[in-house]
Amino acid sequence: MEREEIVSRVRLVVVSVLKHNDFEMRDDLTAKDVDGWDSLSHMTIITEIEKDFGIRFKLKELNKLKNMGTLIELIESKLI
Amino acid sequence: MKNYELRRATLHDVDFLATVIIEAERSMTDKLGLSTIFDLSEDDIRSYLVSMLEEEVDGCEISVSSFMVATLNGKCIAAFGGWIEGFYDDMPSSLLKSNLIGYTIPKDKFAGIIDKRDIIKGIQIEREMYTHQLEYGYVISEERGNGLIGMIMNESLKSALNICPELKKSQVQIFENNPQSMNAYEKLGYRIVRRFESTHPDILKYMPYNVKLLMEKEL
Repeated sequence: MEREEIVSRVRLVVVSVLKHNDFEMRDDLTAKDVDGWDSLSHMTIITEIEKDFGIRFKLKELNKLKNMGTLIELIESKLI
Repeated sequence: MKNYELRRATLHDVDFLATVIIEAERSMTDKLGLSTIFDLSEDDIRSYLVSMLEEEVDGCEISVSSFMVATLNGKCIAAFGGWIEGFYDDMPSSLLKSNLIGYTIPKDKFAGIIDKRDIIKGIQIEREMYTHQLEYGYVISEERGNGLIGMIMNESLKSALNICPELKKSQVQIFENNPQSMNAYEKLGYRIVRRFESTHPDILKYMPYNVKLLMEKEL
């Protein structure tokens, strides 16, 4: 899957969970930068991403996620 | 003076730590937020907390390594969680805790939790990076009134300052319905710096109280 498609689908998940699109999908985007991305929405976003891509993250992988860029890379690595 | 001993928690203490977390979360009410938000029984929550603690993630309130325990004749009688926010790879504890919960609790329990965000957001307090954070303090009823919480808090802070001498603040959050803890923390030099309130009509269906206080001590 092309990186662009991954980015687009992740963006759709985030918009669907947070019910707004007031953010820019850039590599250095973090939860703190996005209104409403708190601990409850974080769990939901991760769960919806797993469902959407048919993948499962390991706990160690989740705890190493620094920003949107590392999340996209992780998804890419699981789709190879 | 009783012969209390203080030490870092280990994996052998997870059952006691699960009790500590549950009792601290309840804040002297019958409301266990983890149970009400995820629609799980207390037994289920206890079992999931043990699993989360056994993951041995560092740097949040569901970390074995965060807890200092007090023992009497080898038996755990009190504990308090404490860590340096963002110490591990600058990861906020809220995300570490969220990852633990999301990883452990069955996915079908997440249906509708996003709607509960509006209910509790008024009392969610963002933790300040690179500060000493305290969470989940508990003493078994028979040993209360003996200064144990103060002993453990001081030991936790001493340990944090050994790792990070440049720490400037220690912070603790409590529900306003807990004046005994507030008084205990004030005696240790903590003062109330902010008050957070949820005015959502359903807040008390999910949480023990609608007002949380942020208390802080300059180091």
